[in-house]
Amino acid sequence: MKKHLFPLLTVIGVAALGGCPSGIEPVPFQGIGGTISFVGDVPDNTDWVRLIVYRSTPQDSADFLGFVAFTDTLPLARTNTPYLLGLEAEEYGWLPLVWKEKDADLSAGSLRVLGWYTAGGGPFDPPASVTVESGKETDEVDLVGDFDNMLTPEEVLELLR
Amino acid sequence: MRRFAPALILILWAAPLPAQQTGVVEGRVTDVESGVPVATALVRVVGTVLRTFADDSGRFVLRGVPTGEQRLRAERIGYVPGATTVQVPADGRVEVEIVMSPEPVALGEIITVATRRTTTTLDAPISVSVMEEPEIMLRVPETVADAVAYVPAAQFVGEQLNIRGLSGYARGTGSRVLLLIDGVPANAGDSGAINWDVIPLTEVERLEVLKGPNSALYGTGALGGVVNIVTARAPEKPLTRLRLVGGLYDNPPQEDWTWSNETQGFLSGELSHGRRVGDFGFWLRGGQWFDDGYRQRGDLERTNLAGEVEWAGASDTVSVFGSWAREDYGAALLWCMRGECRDPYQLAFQPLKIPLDARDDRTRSDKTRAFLGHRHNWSETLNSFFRLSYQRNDWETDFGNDTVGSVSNVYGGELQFDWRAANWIYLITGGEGTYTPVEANLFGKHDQSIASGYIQGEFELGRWVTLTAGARYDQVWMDGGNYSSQVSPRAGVVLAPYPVTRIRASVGRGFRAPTVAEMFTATEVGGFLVIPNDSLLPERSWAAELGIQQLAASWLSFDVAGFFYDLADFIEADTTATSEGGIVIQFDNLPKARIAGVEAIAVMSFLRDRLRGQVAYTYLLTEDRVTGEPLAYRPQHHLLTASGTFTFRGLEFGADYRYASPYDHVKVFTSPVTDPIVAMSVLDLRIAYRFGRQVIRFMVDNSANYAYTTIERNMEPVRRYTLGLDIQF
Repeated sequence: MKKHLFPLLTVIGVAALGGCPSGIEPVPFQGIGGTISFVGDVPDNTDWVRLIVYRSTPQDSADFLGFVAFTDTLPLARTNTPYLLGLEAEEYGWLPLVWKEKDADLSAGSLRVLGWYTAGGGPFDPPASVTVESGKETDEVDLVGDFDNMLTPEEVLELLR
Repeated sequence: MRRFAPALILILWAAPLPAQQTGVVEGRVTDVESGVPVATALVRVVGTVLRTFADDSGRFVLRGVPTGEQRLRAERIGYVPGATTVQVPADGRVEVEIVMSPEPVALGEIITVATRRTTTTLDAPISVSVMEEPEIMLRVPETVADAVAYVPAAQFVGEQLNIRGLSGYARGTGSRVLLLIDGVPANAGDSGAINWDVIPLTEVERLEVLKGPNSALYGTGALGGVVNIVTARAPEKPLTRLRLVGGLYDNPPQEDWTWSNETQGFLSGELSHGRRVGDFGFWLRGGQWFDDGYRQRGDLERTNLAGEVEWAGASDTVSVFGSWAREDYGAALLWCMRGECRDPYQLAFQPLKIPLDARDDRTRSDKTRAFLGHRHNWSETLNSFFRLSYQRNDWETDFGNDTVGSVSNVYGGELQFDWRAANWIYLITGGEGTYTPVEANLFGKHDQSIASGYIQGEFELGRWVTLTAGARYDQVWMDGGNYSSQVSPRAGVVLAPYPVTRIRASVGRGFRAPTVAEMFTATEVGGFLVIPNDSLLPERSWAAELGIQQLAASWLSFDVAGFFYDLADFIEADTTATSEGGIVIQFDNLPKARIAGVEAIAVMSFLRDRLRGQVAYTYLLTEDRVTGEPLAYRPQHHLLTASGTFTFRGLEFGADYRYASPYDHVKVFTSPVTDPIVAMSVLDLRIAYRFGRQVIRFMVDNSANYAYTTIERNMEPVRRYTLGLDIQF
């Protein structure tokens, strides 16, 4: 019996330590998706344009730093360009398209807002919120950016007030 | 000139000694019970530096043996050592037979790596794992790496070998594990990475894995351990060997991950022939491997060729070796995230698909090695070994519009003397130099030179104490300028209070100079921006180990070791996210880090050795001593349950289980949703049938089709079925 005690303990030890770990499993995409279009002429001094996600509309300039997530640099094609952005499951109140000036430091002075997600479809209509549910993609979050009417952060605060 | 001064001093010091009368001892090592030959037994002339290995037919030849009465000793894992006495005639030959008794569970395996001379693991003051040819071939490996993955405390993180958690992950760059092929360094000259395909598998006779920092013996590059590949010597009788391997990959573990309607497979062949003609021995080997890959654009084609000629005279052995290897494979860096490829299931990631813009990413590489070695027996107590070596690595990766590549050449030389100064003193001293020019579009044009000198003494103090002490000096130049130097001392002791017990302890300094790739890489590919750091410092360590080997019963032996590594200026890849959403990578020095742990290995034998088993477990604690966080890519628990092998009338059934706990953290992609970190838990099953000298093997790798990663966004292979045939005639 003694002779078989060690292998028995070994097997039990292996089972206890290894157990049945669960490997990687398919993860449904969770976030938002839709299309982005632009109107107006793209300025020559464009560094990038991104979709940035906030939980609520900004109340003062400090709130611009409270973003949750942002996309990679967006292609500036005029047609409906599809995009995807993975997000935690919760409600997001403001989704603006943000432009940055080339060769400028990243600060409020180098940023402009091209528009945001609205229920009406116009770039500067009242903002609409988006709810992401667990394990699901919220689609048709379509946006339009207007290069001819870009707003400074101060103008955004004024308009949303 | 100054950098080669130590070697010159050694050459001048080695003045010719008076010629002595010697003879040749030929013989055979056999099993006392069955009378069958005992292959690869170490045969040595007691009290001298003369030693050789028996070939597959148990035959051996020892030249330059002093005349008169000599005692021969044969050692082999699984056997009680055998000995005999022989009268050696002047300028003549004598035939002798040494018989050995089987011992199912024994202490001590034959190694050359632990002390730079042929000895056994019993005499090593540090931990060494050994895998011999039958065990290497047991799992129908593709390259040597597939065998190393089953060594206790060894784990591949991506393509990077970690031993006791010392390496982490940097896409192979700056390997802290030194690869030796018959004692000759073989890491790539530019990045220090290990190219496991440089050697055909039929060439490998034994793997020796030395754990922990070993710079005192092997200098820079050995800070995380050493893997020594010992190649087979030319057999006394002609031997041709054909190895055919083919197989299929199973479907992905999840139907949603299906990426192809066709079954993927692989096929390879290796052919080798060796023989002796008079005093000459020859080996020629070649292999070809085709693999569709288990993931999209993961196909691979590999070719390697190698040849060796050895001439063995009365007091001299000269060997010339050359090899060439080519690989061409898909080189996508990451799997496909949502939106990067066509995915009807619209998942967050598709682990077996790659982004559309990475479909043409491919790497091609050519590796050439050449080696000239000369061993000379000056007397029965003094011999020398001189080598010249050359290695060229030429690789290129296409990333769509960007092409990166590098050409590196490593010119090396070494002279080593072994001197048994007295029955109880064995001294080894030598000098080594390398010159490595590198030209690459992502490193620029640089060169690195290293000159080293080392000395080590083993002192047998009575029957139960052996002391080892030594030091190595390394001087490193980068681009012609003085870069750094290091003295790496080491001391060890092996106690043998009982014949079935060995207690070992060692303490030593480790050292690694950064490679050209770590200091100078400047490139931007696939969203990764790598920036150079030419102020990178060399990393240094203090290492201590205490271990015990014990034969506990006729069916059980175990080895337990505790280790502690204190690391300074530890080089790790530092990653930061940019405002543009990319990843910036730069190699940087962690001021202070620490790795400690315990490793336990038990070897068991039951049912008159028909059932053999091995269980190994490693517990690791790692810490960045500035932040207090664990080091990235290191598991805390690493368990290897190997070699559950049952043998019955030529049939062998086996299973291997490997487990590593999830990392505490990784560096690049850290979202728990899209970049899950899971444990490695892999069960392999195998069956083999031996008929005569031929073996047919069937293996199921990852039999549970377990889905896991060892680095972010790179899934490890799915279940695969392999059939192998090994024919010898």
